[in-house]
Amino acid sequence: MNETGITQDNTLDRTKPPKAKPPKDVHFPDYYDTTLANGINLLVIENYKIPSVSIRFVFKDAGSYYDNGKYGVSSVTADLLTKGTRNRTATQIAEETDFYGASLSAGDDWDGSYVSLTVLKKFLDKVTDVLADVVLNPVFAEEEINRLKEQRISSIIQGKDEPSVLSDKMFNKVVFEGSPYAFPPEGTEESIRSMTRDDIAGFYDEHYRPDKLILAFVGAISKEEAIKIVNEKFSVWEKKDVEPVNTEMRQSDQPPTFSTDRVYIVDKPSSVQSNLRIGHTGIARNNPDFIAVTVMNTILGGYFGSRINYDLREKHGFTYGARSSFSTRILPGDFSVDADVRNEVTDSSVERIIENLQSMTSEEVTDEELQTVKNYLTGLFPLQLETANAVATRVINLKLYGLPKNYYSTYISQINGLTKKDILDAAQKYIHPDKLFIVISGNANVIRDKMARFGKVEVYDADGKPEQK
Amino acid sequence: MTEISNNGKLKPAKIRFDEFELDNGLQIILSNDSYIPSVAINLCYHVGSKDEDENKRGFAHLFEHLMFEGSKNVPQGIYDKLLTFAGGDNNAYTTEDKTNYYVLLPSNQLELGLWLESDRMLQFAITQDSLETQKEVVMEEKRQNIDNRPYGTVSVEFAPKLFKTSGYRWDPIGDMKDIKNATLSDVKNFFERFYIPNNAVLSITGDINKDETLAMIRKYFGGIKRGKDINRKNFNEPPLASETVSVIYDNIHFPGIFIGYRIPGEQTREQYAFDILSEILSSGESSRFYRELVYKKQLVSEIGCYADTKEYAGIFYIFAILMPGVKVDTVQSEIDNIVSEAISGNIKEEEIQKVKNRIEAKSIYRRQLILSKADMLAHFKTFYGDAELINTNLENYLKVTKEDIISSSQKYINPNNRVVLHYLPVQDKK
Repeated sequence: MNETGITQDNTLDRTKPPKAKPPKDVHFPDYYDTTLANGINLLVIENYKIPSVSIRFVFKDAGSYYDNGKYGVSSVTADLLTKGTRNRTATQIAEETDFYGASLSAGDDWDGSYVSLTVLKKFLDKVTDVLADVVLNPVFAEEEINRLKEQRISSIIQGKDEPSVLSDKMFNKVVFEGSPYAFPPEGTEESIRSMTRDDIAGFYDEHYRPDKLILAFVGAISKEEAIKIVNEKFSVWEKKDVEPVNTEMRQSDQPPTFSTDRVYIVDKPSSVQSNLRIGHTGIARNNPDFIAVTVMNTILGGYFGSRINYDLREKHGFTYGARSSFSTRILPGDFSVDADVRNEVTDSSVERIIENLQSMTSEEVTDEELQTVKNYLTGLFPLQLETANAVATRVINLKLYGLPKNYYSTYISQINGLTKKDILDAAQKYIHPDKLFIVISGNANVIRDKMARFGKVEVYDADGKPEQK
Repeated sequence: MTEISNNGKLKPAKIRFDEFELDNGLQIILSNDSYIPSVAINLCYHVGSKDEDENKRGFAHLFEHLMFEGSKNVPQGIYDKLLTFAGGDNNAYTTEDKTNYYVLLPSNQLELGLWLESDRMLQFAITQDSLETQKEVVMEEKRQNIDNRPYGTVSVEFAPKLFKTSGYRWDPIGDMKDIKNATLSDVKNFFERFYIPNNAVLSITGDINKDETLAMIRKYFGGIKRGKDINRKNFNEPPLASETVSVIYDNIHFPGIFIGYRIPGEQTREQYAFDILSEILSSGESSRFYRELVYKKQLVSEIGCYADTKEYAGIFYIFAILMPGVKVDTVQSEIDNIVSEAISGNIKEEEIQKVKNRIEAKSIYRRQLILSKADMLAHFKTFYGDAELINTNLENYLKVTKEDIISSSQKYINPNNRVVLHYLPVQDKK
């Protein structure tokens, strides 16, 4: 359709940004939430935007934190769920779900283990049976275990090619020394090699149980339909009395207790960039200061216009991008600043990062910085509620981390209520520029001398072994 | 949003939209979706790396960076500030064929987004300082995503081996020598040639009122002058005459195999057939590659394939990373056998139905986000003049038959029409 007679608007003043119309309210969707006799916490997040349904199992107290020295067992157990049951082989499971265009996956993180199925509504009744089967009846056949172990070891070795993987491992090792968080959730070559079927079946028996289960039905499905499926497939599943235990040291919610005067370099001689991870322990997900910390971190390094990205990328051209983040879990995860910078500016970049952390903890942010980030986070909030699964993820987080039920309905007002003093308090409480761990994977020969001004330099190889002197 | 069809099964609602064209040639597509109070503004410029002069490789992508560096009424650094202050987000990407910009905003801030986008189209206002900084940033982007990444050079290696005469013979990241040498007048010329309303499609989705939005678009974009018609280079790539096999040493532990066949471009009959073939070979754990090579024989840790189709040509890619101790030749011949078996016609109807079910599901999931709808509408309009493909394209896949797969493959899936890259650990170099 071609337009005719357009009038040239000569009065248009382009020099000033146009004014916004009044904002619209954002509502967090309602959902159904109940606990069944065997302890299952059933959630139904009903939404007919597209004719699709997801069924998501979240087992609490079932993540890598509970590996108990068998590093990787939580993750291996999850991977094996879809690799054979009392009724189906791995191949049959794949064929059955693939045929109906369903995606069935299982996995874990530090806090839980997960199984989820997404399928078009018209095929839902074809695949609920296989879903129930993988959750309730996995057999952990030796042949499948051996195959998975070989693949896992190959993937761990392959990870040594990736600069960010090398930095991650070293960073977690030094920051979380003495905690399960110090070890890779996917396991080590040694822990995977020595893992037995008993380790895996034992992990399953202890952690996959209805009284630890959040079960969410998401999308084009009613409460009644969801309850019918649960009654048919999961009502005879019995709860357990014994709580899962972690035999290793628990971590406290305290700031790091010792300052470091060391720089850890993981040597990757071929590197043309240094991958930086600078930080220390952070906060737990249910920390009451979480929202203040989120706003503070966003100003510091949490979005494109943040101080750290602006300084390292836009002002100095040292990097394609730099960011800071708090990884929040049931217990405090890490706070870290990450960037890939070219070899020659490695020390300048570290210096810029430390200066940004120092100014964040010594002076209030500006009114403009605070208002920008408040608007940014609240403006993007509706986009985080755009799909039924995105809403479900947030509802699941409320349950998994024990957050107040009105957390998301008050999220915007909580952000808007923060003051510059709140931000400075959060920075001073949770960022410690004098207690930083500086970890770099990169070309040790090129960068080691320049890094000496930040502390005693220790060089390790890709396997984490200290350099031979 | 969902309607119940006659057979009682749920099917997705058609995406409705309206199209307009301004006198200056700007194409406009508006589609309302008030599920959340947000809007997506997508501006697709029909210029990518293949349109670059051969001694200015990487300009389309460098220019993408520069578009954030200020415009006539928006000083350097202010574009991002204003958008984030309004609660918005934005980004852009560059391919061989297009440079695509998007903005997400609360719907009450739509006008701000239009003002910012129109100001960037209005007039070139980049400074020398911005240019120098963004050259550094682009070079870091290449180091991070290509040079310092295992197997990261695959696309850079493939391009000149698969294409000989067209602008597809270099990767969008370009040549760092050309980036270093870029002058302000070079980039200004590039802007004036390609960043014109008659080379752009503006699509807006989300919580919008059609008439109000159109009036705002006229206000901000209506006064921008039409640019000179673009004289596009002819695409005339002779077929590959023989197989190319190259060994590349990289900082990796395990060898990788990367195979690329030259195939026809997007929205051709062959594209649909090759998309179906790639799903049969590699989608899901019931796929042929996974079942044989990952599961049964345990020769590879990862394997996949996909049809990467561009405006004028495409590449049918296959890639695999080997398990420890496995030989490249072993896996290469296993892959070739599996492909030969499939394209000889040994495909069950059930397998084709499975793949069609998977493609249907994916096509429905993509319709959930206002941003992905805006992107698809602009893409289909830019390259095929037909935004309605957002609703009808699935049919093109559902029509594919076994015979289509066989006939397309016989013509294009043969060794003389391919490039094979064997990535080997640098420590194996003799």
